Amino acid sequence: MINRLWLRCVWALLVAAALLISFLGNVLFTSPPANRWLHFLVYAAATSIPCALWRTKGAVIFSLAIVCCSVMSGTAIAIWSWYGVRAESTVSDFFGIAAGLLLGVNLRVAWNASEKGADADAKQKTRTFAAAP
Amino acid sequence: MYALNFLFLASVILALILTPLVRNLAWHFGLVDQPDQKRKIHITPTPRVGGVAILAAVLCAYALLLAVGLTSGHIVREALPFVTRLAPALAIVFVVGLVDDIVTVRPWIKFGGQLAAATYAWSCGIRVNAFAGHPFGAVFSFLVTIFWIVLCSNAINLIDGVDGLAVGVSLFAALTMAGAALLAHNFTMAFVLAPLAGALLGFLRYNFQPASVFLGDSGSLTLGFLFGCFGAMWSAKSATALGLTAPLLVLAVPILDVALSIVRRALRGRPIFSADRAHIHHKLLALGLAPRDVSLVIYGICGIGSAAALLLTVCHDHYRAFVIVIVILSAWLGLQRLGYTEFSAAGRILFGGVFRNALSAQLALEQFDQEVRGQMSYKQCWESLCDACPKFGFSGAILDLGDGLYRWGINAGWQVRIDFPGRGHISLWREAGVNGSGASAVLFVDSVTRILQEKLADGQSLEVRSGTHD
Repeated sequence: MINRLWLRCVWALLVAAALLISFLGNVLFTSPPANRWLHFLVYAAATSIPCALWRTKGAVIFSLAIVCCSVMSGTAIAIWSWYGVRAESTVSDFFGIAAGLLLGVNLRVAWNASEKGADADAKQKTRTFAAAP
Repeated sequence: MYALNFLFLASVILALILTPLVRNLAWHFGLVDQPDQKRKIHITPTPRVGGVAILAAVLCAYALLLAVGLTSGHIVREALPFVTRLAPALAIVFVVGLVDDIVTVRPWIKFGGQLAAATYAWSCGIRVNAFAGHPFGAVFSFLVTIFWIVLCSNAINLIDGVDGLAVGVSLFAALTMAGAALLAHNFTMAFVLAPLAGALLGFLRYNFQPASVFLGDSGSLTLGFLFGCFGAMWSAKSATALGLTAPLLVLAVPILDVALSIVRRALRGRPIFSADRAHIHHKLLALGLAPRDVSLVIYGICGIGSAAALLLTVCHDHYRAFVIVIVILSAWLGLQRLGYTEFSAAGRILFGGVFRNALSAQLALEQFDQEVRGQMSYKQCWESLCDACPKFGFSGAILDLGDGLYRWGINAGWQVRIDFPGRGHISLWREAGVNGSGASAVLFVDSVTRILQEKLADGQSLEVRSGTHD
């Protein structure tokens, strides 16, 4: 059973992975397409989890700020150390964040709708039983 | 560039001059669209042959360019043989649309005209030869090209439901395609698109809310057909695996709308050509947006789509997959927001366990049918029935055929009682609040009734006497 603590751990691992590939991506992955996809998927996952699952708005904003900081710090270090061109990875990162935001919001809307439907069903049932003699 | 600017400005001015003239002529000949307070939500009768003004403005702009003798006139002359080859196809679509504006024609006649025009265009060399880098054979290329052009024609036609919407969407498409053509140094295509964009901008002055003239089918079908052809040319000229992705992005809203309409009507079992009030713009109106706001919201979405298409063109395919993922996710979010009941119900059926439950109930029903269809005694039938009951949500059963009473399970909740006149009855009990199996329970009851009637007609005697079945 996946509980909220596990999800936080998964999210923390994803952010750590995002930082790692931001700092060492060009060393670890030499194939540009694989590198692009890795950046995209990691950032999409790291963004979608808070958007879909964190309960409070503050927690969501804090998590997204950390993800954005990860992109910025990776880019800053690359510029500072003349780490080659990192523009492609940064664009992939931002595409990943956009996809993660959209996916997270989609999942949240879908779950909210299904919960509302379940609540409506429960109320309907309660009314039915209450009306019974 | 001077010639392009000249064409654009000339067509804007010509559209501004010609549109009121066409509007007045339409009033004179009674070619007006009457409001019906159902699908036609405008308040006053409005002329509907705006396509004539747009086409006239574009043709006059070319004539002016050739007349003034700018140096770029030779590009127009070079493109003339191709344009004259394609002109009959364009004429077919335009005439079919114009006839529909004057005397309403049946949808299949319009569809036939579009098919004929698309086939002619294919024979003129307008072809979709590849998608996402995968080349097509000749037959498949023909089918995809026809499908694409007819899809675009209907997409612009169907989205023409709010003042300024189809014209604005077309303007975005024309500007984006012209921009992409310039980026690819395809000046011929840019010279075709620049006056079209100018004419649309000039026409929008009269078509934006509150509209004094409508585009009509003569305009919407022709514009859709042209964008289909330009999209195919764009995909053919693309040096990368871009294929139809960029044209699809430019026309994302109208194409999504027509695709949704087809799927919606298929899910509801209604004819695909039937009209309804569930297009994207109708849904936005139902959400409480004013017609002007609906147009502006859709312009915004088209603007994003156009920017994405140009980005793809500039980036030479590097981020195509990412853009496609984001477009799909955005479309999903938009659909959820618009609240299409067909898709939410279909989603619940597919992913909410309804389909799985229905499938298992259907399999259980077929198994039950097979078991009891054979030469079984009442006792064996009764045992099969008792085994099958829980699968359909029934918690108890009573079989009373006069010479014996048979009882199983919890007889509480509500019951379905089937009488066999002169022989007895069977009651199936179901506890209140049991989820699922609703439709299949009815089928089960029907099946039990039919089987018992057959058995009774055969005259089998009841072998089992009173008792409780475990």
